[in-house]
This record gives sequence, C-alpha cells and structure tokens, in this order.
Amino acid sequence: MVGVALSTNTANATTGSLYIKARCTNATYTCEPGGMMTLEADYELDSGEYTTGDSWMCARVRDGMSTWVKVRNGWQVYNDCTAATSYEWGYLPKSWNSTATSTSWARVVFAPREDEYFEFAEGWYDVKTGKIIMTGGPTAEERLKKILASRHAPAIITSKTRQAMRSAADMREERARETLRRVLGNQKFRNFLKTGFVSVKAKSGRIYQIFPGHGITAVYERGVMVERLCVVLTGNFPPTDSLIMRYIMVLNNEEQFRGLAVKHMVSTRGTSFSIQPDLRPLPEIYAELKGTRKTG
Amino acid sequence: MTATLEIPTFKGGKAKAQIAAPNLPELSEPRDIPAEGLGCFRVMTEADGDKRFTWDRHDFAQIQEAKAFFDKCVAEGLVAHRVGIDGRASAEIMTEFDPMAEEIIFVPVAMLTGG
Repeated sequence: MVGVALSTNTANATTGSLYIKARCTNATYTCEPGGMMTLEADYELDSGEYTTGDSWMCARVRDGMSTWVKVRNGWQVYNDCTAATSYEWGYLPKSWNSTATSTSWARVVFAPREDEYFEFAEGWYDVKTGKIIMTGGPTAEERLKKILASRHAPAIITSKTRQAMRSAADMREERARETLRRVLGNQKFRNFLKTGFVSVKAKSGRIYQIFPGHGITAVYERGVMVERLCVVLTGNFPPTDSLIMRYIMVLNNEEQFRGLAVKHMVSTRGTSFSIQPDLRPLPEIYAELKGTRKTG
Repeated sequence: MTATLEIPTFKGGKAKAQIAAPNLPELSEPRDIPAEGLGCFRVMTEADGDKRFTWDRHDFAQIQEAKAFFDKCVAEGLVAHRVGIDGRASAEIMTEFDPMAEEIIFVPVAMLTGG
C-alpha cells in the first residue's frame, strides 16, 4: 500500500491526524457476550467542487498499526472492536486504487473527538484548513417551534365537573408527568392536563379510561361503560406513575391487566328513567308553542 | 461505593433485588432533558419515583455499559418499553437492547396488583 497522506489539523496539537469518532448513517452495532462489538456503518460521500486532488477517505482503528480501510458509499465492517477503541480518519492518495473515479470532499457526520467537544451535527471536514464546518441541524423555524413549545403552559380551561391538573409539588410527580408526556405525545398529554384522565384503546377494541393515583379504570365498549377495574401500584409512587404503568400494560398486555384487576360493578344510578322523544312534526310542535304563548 | 437500585422481585412480597446503578451520567433534575444524541433509561423506583440514566448513542463504552444494565434489569423481572420513537408517542416492549433507542422505561410489573 502507498503511504498514508493525512491532513494536518491546525486545531489539534497532534500532528498529522484529526481524530474523529464518526457518527454514521445506518449504524448497526452487534455486541457479543464478553464485550466484543462489531460496527457496520454506511458513510455518505458526495462529489463536489472541492478537491483534494487524488485521495480517498479512509478509516482505521486508532492504534497506529491497523490497516487503513477505504470508505466510499458502502458498508465497512470493523470486527472485534472493544469499547475503548477509537478510530481515525484520513485520506489516501488515489493512486492506491487507480481504477477509482474522483472523489472530492467527504461529508462526515461526526461525534465528539477526543480533545475537543463538538455537539452532534453534520459538518464538512475541510481538509485544506483542517477545520470542521458545521452545517445542517434544525432550521430557524424548527428551533423557534421548539422554543414556543417549551413555553406552553398547561391548559387552564376548566369545566364545572372537572378541574385541570395543577402543578405538582412533588418533584417525582413532575418527572412522572414528563415521562407521561413522552409516552402519550403532546396532544394527548394536553388533554390529560385538561381532563385529568387518559383514554387508551386496547387491541381488543375496548377503551380504558385511566385516572392517576389509585383511581378505578373504567372500561367502555361501543360507548357504554361495561366494567370498572381496580389495579393499584403498590409502594410510594406518585399518582402519574400509576397511570403510566396501567396505560402501558393495557396497551401491550391487556389480558395481564384484566387478570390482575379486581372487577367492580358498573353503577346504574341516574339512569333508571327514560325520556320519550317527541316525534311529532316540528310545525305542529311550533304551533302548539305559539298557541301556548298567546294564551299564556 | 456504587449506588444500587432497589427493585421489587415479585408481587405481594417485600423482597427486593439490588441492581447496581450503571456507570452512566444521571439526570437528577426533573426538568432535565437528555441532550441530542443521548439515549435515556427511566427506572421506576419507590424511593425516587424514577431514576434516569443517559448513554451516548455513539460511544462504545457507554453502549456496553447501557446494554449490561439493560440485561440486568430484564433478568430481575423489569419489563422494558421503548418510548418516543422519533419523537412520536409509543410504548412498545423491548426484548433486546437497542443502543439507538431514544428512551427506555423499565416497568416493575410485580408492583401492580388488584385493589
């Protein structure tokens, strides 16, 4: 093999190489018992205006002895990697492979290097200057949306029968609500804050209405409450943790949830009477009302 | 001394399994959010509500540590659920550790009982 021609990074006191632990697209890790890992990764390489002349992007284990492996639009397999291994990147003269077509700059998605921290981002490694030019990342619009979302206060709309959730005094409850937000998604979480419960449709089609704490879980079929199930989370957990556990269990293992639950009767209070609908034509009803007003 | 997490082992009992906390950064404040590129474990514990540990999804050492912790928790009876795939709501069960997961919650099913 022709000798390696590595770029010089002026920002790094180490001569000759910029050490990058690259973050790749489509990375697949396989970890065997005993800690041996295999990394397979795909790297993006594009052609463009910048040219190094004649060189290939390549990589090797950073031990000064491993073989350089050419990286170009394909899978490269590093076997028997240990956790402490890091990798270095560089360029080989193109004459190493005289049949290859020209590759200009390489787009490297990188992670922190050893002696200087870069936030995860995409960037162009400029071999001429030895600097990494940050590109990509969230757009201004995406960043603004994120900022606005973080400032949204919980809904304060209240109804006469149910009040919106207030801020928790217990830090554990705060964490639990944050977890619940990630489990439910923002829209459902906002509904939870407004209404104080979460509805989830199980695989059987039944809908479970779950309240935080030790509340009963109501089960509905075709809009009618058919059961009230009591499942509690033993131990000193905040109320929302209990809701999270029941929600996850109903979603993933409804039978286990129903097996654990103590079933309670559905209350029939307030539903013993029925109203007979007035089926007369509207003009007749209106005439009667008009007549009543005149005489009243 | 390595901190340990106490996990209930079976329903109705007081016996608890001791799992050594992983050698990973911990999020202690409730409003702390894992930075981009970090995965997060949430282990529900009675003492703290939950404990959260993060791992760098591109650091082999931390991935190994996270996998070892995942395997220990599953062996002690905790059920792992993947949460928030690509920012969307989700709660699917995991049987194997995925280093690229955003967030994994361990649910102590043993603590749920009828009431």
